[in-house]
Amino acid sequence: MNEYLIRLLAAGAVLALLSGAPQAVFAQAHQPPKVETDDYAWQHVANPYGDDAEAIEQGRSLYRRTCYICHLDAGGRGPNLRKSALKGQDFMRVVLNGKKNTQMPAWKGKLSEEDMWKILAYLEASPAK
Amino acid sequence: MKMASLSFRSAGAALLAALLAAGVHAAGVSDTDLVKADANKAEWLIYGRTYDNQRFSPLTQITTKNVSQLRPVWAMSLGTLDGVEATPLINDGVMYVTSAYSNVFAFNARNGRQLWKYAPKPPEGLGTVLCCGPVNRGTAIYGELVYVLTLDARLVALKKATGEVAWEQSLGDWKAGISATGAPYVVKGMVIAGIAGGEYGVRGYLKAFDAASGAPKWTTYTVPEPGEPGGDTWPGETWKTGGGATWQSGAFDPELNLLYWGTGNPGSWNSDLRKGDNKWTASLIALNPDDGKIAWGFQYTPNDGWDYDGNNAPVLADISIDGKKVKAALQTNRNGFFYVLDRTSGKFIYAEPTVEGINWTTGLDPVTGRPAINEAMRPLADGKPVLPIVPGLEGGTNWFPMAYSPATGVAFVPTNQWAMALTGHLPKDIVYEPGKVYMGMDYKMHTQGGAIGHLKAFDVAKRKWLWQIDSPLPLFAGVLATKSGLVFTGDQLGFFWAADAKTGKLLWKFQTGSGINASPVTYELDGKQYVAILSGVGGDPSFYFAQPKSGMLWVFGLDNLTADAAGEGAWGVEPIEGALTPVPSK
Repeated sequence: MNEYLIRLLAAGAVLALLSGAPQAVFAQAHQPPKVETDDYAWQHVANPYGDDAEAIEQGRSLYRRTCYICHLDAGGRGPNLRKSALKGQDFMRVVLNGKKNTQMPAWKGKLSEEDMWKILAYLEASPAK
Repeated sequence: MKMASLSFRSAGAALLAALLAAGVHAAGVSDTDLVKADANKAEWLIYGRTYDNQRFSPLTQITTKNVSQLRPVWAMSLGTLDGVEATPLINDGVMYVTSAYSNVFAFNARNGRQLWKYAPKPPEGLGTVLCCGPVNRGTAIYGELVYVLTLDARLVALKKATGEVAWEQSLGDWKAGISATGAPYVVKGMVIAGIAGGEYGVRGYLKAFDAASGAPKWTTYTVPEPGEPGGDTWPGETWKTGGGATWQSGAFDPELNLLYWGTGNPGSWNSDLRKGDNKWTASLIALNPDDGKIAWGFQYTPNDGWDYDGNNAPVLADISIDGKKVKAALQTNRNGFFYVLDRTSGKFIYAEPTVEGINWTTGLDPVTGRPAINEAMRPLADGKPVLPIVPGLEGGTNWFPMAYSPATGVAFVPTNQWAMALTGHLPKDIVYEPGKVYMGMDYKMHTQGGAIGHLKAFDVAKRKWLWQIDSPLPLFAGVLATKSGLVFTGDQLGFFWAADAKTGKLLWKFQTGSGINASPVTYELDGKQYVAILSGVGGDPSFYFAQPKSGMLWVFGLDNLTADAAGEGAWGVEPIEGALTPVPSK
């Protein structure tokens, strides 16, 4: 977060306090990101396929046969994954466990960890246009 | 508290006794009851109310004059934030409703008291083979059983009285991409079940089971093998992953002894990789229900390359066209046309566009109904985008059923005006693997300016549009028409509404709290007419517009319930075990 943005947020929070808006605006900005835990035995903490052209190609093929039905090439029924704010294992945890109260299913048992990393490697290698 | 609890229990017992005594004929719903469902004004026994699927009620208590007084009588949570798409059934004072994940509820239709609930546990990973959300469109009733298709591709028969499973049968392996979201359909002592999976390379089929025992009777594939009629419309091995899923319900003509069923898009979506008509995908087929043999087929979209499923079940109507009596099947299609066919033979009579600017075809042959394809709008497996194609793949009219008034010969057609872009993948990227996506194409829906949703009234004999009601968001709800000249449907703004069937004037609106993608029904209990609808966005409309989610059942009438009728509550009064205990005695 750059300095300008912090100032802007702080100013907004002061304004919110003055106008009697809920103070949670300020509090939320300072909460650390929530890290979800799971009992999955991860083999990798970072993507082992980041610059592996063959794995990226496999990831492309896998993506089209799995995530594609909702996420398509640039988002559709689900968000554009090439613009996802989730990186690395945070992304992987959503793939593994699904997302509650959405139609994102859990891929645990349907995709191997290796395959999930390959899909992520493909998405990162082909960013949004 | 003790007193309340006791009287609550005795009320429950009294209710059960009343239900058992209330003229429930020992054998329950019979074939005759289903064939004569139209004469049974008070109840709603079949998905489309009658075998002809007209969704037309002869009830007349709620009228254009008094509909403004319509008010919620009771409402009930269906316990889901996923989409609800069902048509409730009403039989012997009980309402059978399905919610997301194939949950089934039996409610006392008088006051919403839950009699039982069936909540199958979805297997882990099931969500990975669902294209369009964990939706379900309702139940079927026969004898003393109520039937539901589950998302993991089972047909389950439940005992009407208790909700206990009487028997169940597999429809296929969900891990291979086969699921089920439609309402089962009972014909001649058999339950007919269709499957979903057109985006997973499933080869579509219908299955019939003995309604009492569950014994399998027949299986009919919608896509023929080589050597079977139509087998030559599939090059090579393409028939094996040919699609033609059967994810909705059908219609039945007892006199002709024909069962009508719509079929879905071919797989993959790339029409240039399976040159030929690809029978019987994107079609209407008529089957002999006794043996499942296909009597005839009519293909709306041969060699479909636009995901124009033809699953919306036909309405059967006897109409007069150019002075000639016709036993017609009416169907409103995703490809943008409203079809009128001769249901004895499948012969094309005419088709009329339901949307403006259809451009995937340059026109239909006036004799055969076969579309001339506009090749400029056919996406190829070459990675090049084609746009704007009209209509977009959602239709036209997607799955939601229209209504038809036999009194006036008018169809009430929900339809959407929007476009799409399609980009075919390269052949090397189109690989079939059981249980994995087999689309072969990227798509994007596009708006065209103006309202997307339109409810249109169409005089079928005169071939004339009478009026339309616009909705800014797409319409995804079924329609109900009544003899008293009312049309009911719902929209994605959360409104359930009633219009004058003659003029299209909106007469009444109610905000249900979430978008409506289900179909309304009406029924009569104790001399009073009610209207019921499920509200709760999910499935396809939720992909395009954000709105509050909550699966609810709403029941409307002209009078509030009396305290007596409302009873002591729709659910139990006992605290959760251990959570709230009486003050301990000293």
